[in-house]
Parts: sequence; C-alpha cells; structure tokens
Amino acid sequence: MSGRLKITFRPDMPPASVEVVAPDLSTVGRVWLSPGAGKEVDVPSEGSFLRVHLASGESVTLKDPGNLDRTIGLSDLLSSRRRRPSVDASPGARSGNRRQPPPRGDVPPAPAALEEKAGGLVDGALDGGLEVVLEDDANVAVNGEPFEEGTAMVFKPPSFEGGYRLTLHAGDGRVRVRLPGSATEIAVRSNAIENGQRLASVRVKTSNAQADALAGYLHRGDLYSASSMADWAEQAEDLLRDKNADPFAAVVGAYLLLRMHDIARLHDWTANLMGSFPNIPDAVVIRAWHLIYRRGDEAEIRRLCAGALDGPLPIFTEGLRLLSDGVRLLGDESDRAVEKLNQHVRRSLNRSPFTATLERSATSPEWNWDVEIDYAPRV
Amino acid sequence: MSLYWPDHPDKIDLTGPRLHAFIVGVGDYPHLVAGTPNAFNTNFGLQQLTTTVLTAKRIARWLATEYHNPDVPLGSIELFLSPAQQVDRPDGTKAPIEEATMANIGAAFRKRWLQERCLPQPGGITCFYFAGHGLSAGGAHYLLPSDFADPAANKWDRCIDFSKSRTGMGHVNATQLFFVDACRETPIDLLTQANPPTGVRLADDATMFDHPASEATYYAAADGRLAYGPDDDVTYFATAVIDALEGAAALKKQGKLAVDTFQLGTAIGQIVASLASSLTKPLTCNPQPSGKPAVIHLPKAAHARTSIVCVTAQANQESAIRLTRGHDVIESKAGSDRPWHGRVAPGDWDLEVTFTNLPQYKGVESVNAPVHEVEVPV
Repeated sequence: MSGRLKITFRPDMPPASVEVVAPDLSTVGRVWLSPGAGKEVDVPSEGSFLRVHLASGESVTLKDPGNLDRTIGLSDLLSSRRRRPSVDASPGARSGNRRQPPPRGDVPPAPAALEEKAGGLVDGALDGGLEVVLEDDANVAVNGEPFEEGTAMVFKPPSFEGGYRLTLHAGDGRVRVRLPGSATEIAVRSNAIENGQRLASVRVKTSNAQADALAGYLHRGDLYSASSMADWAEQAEDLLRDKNADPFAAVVGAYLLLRMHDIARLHDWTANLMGSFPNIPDAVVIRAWHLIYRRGDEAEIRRLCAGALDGPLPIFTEGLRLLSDGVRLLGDESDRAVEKLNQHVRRSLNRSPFTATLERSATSPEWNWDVEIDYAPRV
Repeated sequence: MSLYWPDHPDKIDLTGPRLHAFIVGVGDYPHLVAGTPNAFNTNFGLQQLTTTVLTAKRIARWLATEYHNPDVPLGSIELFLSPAQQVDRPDGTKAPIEEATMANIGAAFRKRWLQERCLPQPGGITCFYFAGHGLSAGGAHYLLPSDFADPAANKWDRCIDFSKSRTGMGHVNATQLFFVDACRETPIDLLTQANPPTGVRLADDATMFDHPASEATYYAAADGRLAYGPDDDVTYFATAVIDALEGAAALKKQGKLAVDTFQLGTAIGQIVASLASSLTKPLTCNPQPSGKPAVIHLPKAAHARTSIVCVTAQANQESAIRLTRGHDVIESKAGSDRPWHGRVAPGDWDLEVTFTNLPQYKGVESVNAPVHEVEVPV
C-alpha cells in the first residue's frame, strides 16, 4: 500500500543522506537530513526501507516494514551498522604486541576521556619523532594537548577568519596541511605500522557538521549522496551573513554546486564570498569557475586565475583541483601557469580533503611515513 | 589503425550517438628499469608492469561483449598495447594492435578518435581507459606511454598531460568517462628536478567555456599512492570497475536497472575499500564524477559484492556457509577460503553457518549493493 513516509533524525544523529528504497529495490527518493530535522517522501509501499549514507562512506540499512513514521537515532545506526571483515582472524593477529594503525576514520578520543600527559599544553614531537605544529595564517601558533603517552596530540583552535597551517615534520620530510579557520578539533596520531613504516593520521572536525558531511561525500567521490545536499548548498549564501558567518561552510557548498555544474543555484553570492573574505583563497578559485561556467568575462577569469596562482594555495583539495584545471584553460598562458603551479606544489596529497603538500630533501630519499588526512567521523 | 572493434573502420557506425572507447595498456617500458634495450635506466625507479596489458585487453573485451546501452550502443574500440601484438577479438578474428607509443597514441587520439568518431555524434559516450604508469605533480596527472624517457627525446615530450588532455576535450558533446588505472606517485627524483613535468596535450580544441554536461574521472589510486594488481592478472581497480558495471553499481530507476556516472563512482570506491580490507593491501581510489548523472550501462541484474567471514581462525576453518532465498541457494563448504566472496542478489537472504565444534549461526541478511560484508558473530 502506498503512502507518505515521514523520516525524522533524532538530535544525536550526524547529518546524512537518506535513500528511500521500495521493496522491489528501486530508489524512490533521496533526502538529506540534519540532526533533529524531518522530511517526507511518497512511497509505493509500506515495505519501503531506508539506506543511510554516512559521510565516512559507510551505508546502513534500516528496515521497519509497515511503519510510515520513522524516527532514527544514533542507537539505530550503531545496532545496524556492519563491521568490515578482516582476512586475518587468527587470535595471534589480534593479541600480538605490534601496535596496529588506527582503522580509517579512527580518531583519538576527546581529550576529556584521555589521560593527560604531564606538562599540559605544548607543541612538540610525537612517537617516531613526528613534530607537529599548528599556526594560523598570521603565523600565530596554537598549542596542542599531547595524549596517549605521546602518540596523539589534539588541537582545539579558536575560530579564525583565515586558514590554519598544520605542519608534520619528521626526518627530512615535511607535510604541510591547509585547514579551515572553522576547525574546532584537529587530532594527530603517530603510529608504527609494519616494515618500519609509520603512519601519521590527522582527523579534523569543524564547527559545521553539515559542511563536514558534504565535504566528506565530495572527498570520497560520492556525488550520489552529496547531490542530495544541493538544497543546503543553495542556502550557503545565508552562511555569509551576520556575525555568525561561516564562509568555510559556504565554500564547501559552492564546491558541490560547481561540481554538479548547478550554476543557477549559485545565484551571484560567489562575488560576495570573494569580496568579504579575502583571507580565504578558495573564494577566488570559486569565483573564477563560477564565471567560467557562466561564460563570464574572460579577462576577469584570467585575472582571477593569475591571482590565485600568486596567492596562498586553496584550503580545500577541491580548490587545488579546480585551480589546476583552471590554469589549463588559459590557452597561450597555460604552459607558464602550469609550470608556476608545479613549482608551487611539487607533490600534493589528493587523498586529503584539505590541501596537503609534501616537501622532501633530495639527499636523503628514505622517508618512512605515510600520512592520512580526513574528517573526524561523527558516529 | 589499431582498431579492436569492429574489425574494419568501414563498419564503424557513425549514424547516431555511440560509445567510442580509447584504451591503452602499457606493460613494456623499454627505457625504464629492466627495460629492453635500456635495462639499467633508473628513470624515477619505475619498473615494467605485468597487469596493465591484461587489464586493457579485459576492458576492451568487456565493452565488446557485455556493454549494453540501447540509447548509446557501442561504436568503436581503439586499443594500444605495449608490447604491440595480435589480439583475439570476441568473434575469433585477430586485431593487429599498435604499440602504445606517444606518436601512435597522439596520431590516433585527436583526429581519428575524437574528431572523426566522437564529435560528429552528439549525445554519445567517450570512454578513455589508461592502464600503465602515471606521475603526479602540481595537482595534475601525467600518463606515460611506452617510449617515455627515450634518451633520443625530451622525456616530457613522451608524456601525456592527462589533466590538459581532459580539459581539451570539453567541446565534445558527450558523456565523458576517463579511467586512470595508473599510479599517482611522485617519485623523489621528480620532486627534486629543476624542471617540473610538462607533457603533451592530446586534445586542445576546447575553449575555456566548453564543458561536457556529464563527465567522470575515476582514478585507480589516490594521489601519491600506487595502483595495485595481482601478478599476471587484471588490476584490482579494473576488477572493481567491471564488478560495478556488471551490477554492483546498478540502481533501479523507473523500472530499469542502470549504472550511472555518480553511482559508478560510489560503487568503485566501496568495492576498492572492500578489496583493500580483505586483501590487506593499501588500495585506494579517487572517483571524481561531475555535472549531471548520466546512464552508462544497463546490466542484466543487480548484485552486491558480498563477503562472509567468522571472527576466529577456527570458526573460519570449520564454517560451512549456506545462503538461501526461495529456491536460490549459495553454498561454500567447510575448509574453503575465508572470507567467502561472491555476488549475491540484493534482498533478504537466510544465512546459515554450520561448524564442526561450534553452535550453528542463523540469521537474515538484508543484502544491499554495492558491497555487503558479514562478520559472523561466533
């Protein structure tokens, strides 16, 4: 029997894309929900069920045949989520002394739940000699708290209008990570993995859970889930107003609409974003691409691309990708622009949602670090 | 001409929108480590490859035999391999395939493939698949044909600037698919070179305002990572692509099962993550669809790439697995490889796992595509 299915997220839920699936397994609708919000979808049968697509890449199926008023809480997710099997299930592999790297998505627990290392708030080195420094774009350092016997450090930076720079330094290698000024928690962990290799994992949480969810989808290439947030992105203009403005969330919204070529929804607030927030380099790239898709003034586009090349790198990898593509559209100026960008960024880590570059010495090619950067999971 | 399908250029149907594929598989690199004749070259430490030629041939065969899209039927498959060789077509005839050199690829790409086949048929699909070495710098990606690092030429003149080539195709009114089954490493030599890489642009006809309505680039490895494959078999990425196209990425829309550009990216990502977990290999991928979702392929059936494993070695050794749904039964005997992997139709299945010395496990599994993973709680 057909009907109207009401889906409500409890306040403890993370923002997520929800797919409504009919019993014949056809998709009848997709909605995006934030904590405490609800939406309705017409369904062909009361047997329709839900798939919740989390920003981490995990999907959770929720069934409750006959119930057309579904309220979903975190406990529903946790009881229905699946664990990824491991090939090595031998007891030895689980009880060995070798430290295992954190599974993707793992983050050090919140500082309150950890035993604080004596010494309080310091910059410094983690296990394996990993030096971790966080500074804002005005070169003001932010102190972090070391935890877990020197294997992890957590920063809780204040809101900043520009970007942050996280530097991970070990041996002759250095990874620089651009981070948004809306970051509220940055956790860095250093772990031994195997064959003498070490893993530095960085997990970032910003003040806007919706933006983090959307950026997580985009980062994983899950445009299917991300596209359900197009209506949220369309409202990103509102995020530029008043004293509680969140331009970084607006940047993420703009990236989605650009990726979907959904230019009508961008209206014209990209000019406002660029004009009002000159310390966010992504805004220039976004404006340039908005004009490209809108077939705007070519001279202005060239000027914006040149400006983006001369300024700091975009904070988000999506911005670096757009800048890299953009300079390849400049005709005769393209080769010089590409060369300039290549000089600027010899090696970027595209698997990071935030622009991350690796610098290495030529004299000592051995560098035994792998670096993983991602959003902190909210489930 | 290096035409895999059809068997003669006169048979290429140019009367409507078609899928035209351009596939490159480079295994032999004469000027890289252990190459012939320059075995001692150490250009970036890049080695010969064993998986890429097999992968290119597998993708070509899959398109020729399995691809199904009534709105955009198959139009042509251009194939380049290194080493050059005769390749069996599905109908048993032999296709003489040219070597995947910069000159051969460059000569065919723009004029023969893009201008003569893809451009005249708006609304079609262009499919570019490259399996070989890749380099990454400046946020861009470079693909290496077989004669990369030939000492007779500037090495960057024998290198494809993939990022430029892709944007240079923006004027082609087609759904544009790019599969980059290549490493995206940045070797230390590259980081320290005085001159950063450049490369050849295979297409350069688009203005800055030309962009396809639907485009997707699926990278085998996230930037700075290696692409992997088992020795002498197709790459893990190609396995994921084919698995996704054959039904793991299928969605039913308006009564039809279809794989579109968005869902393909999501499915490839989840399948590669599942392979990484089960093989304990650092596999990564980076799907980048953009624009509007566009239907690529209509598979015969949907399936979930399913794995079942028990939590202890003893339980895995003893476990006999049985999945049933109506008259459909899938079984795996005790002593078989674990995790068990297979394709399972989406829907509710009864799962029974029987052990020699442990209590039986029974449960209902709501199997969902693209990936369904079960850890039996014994």
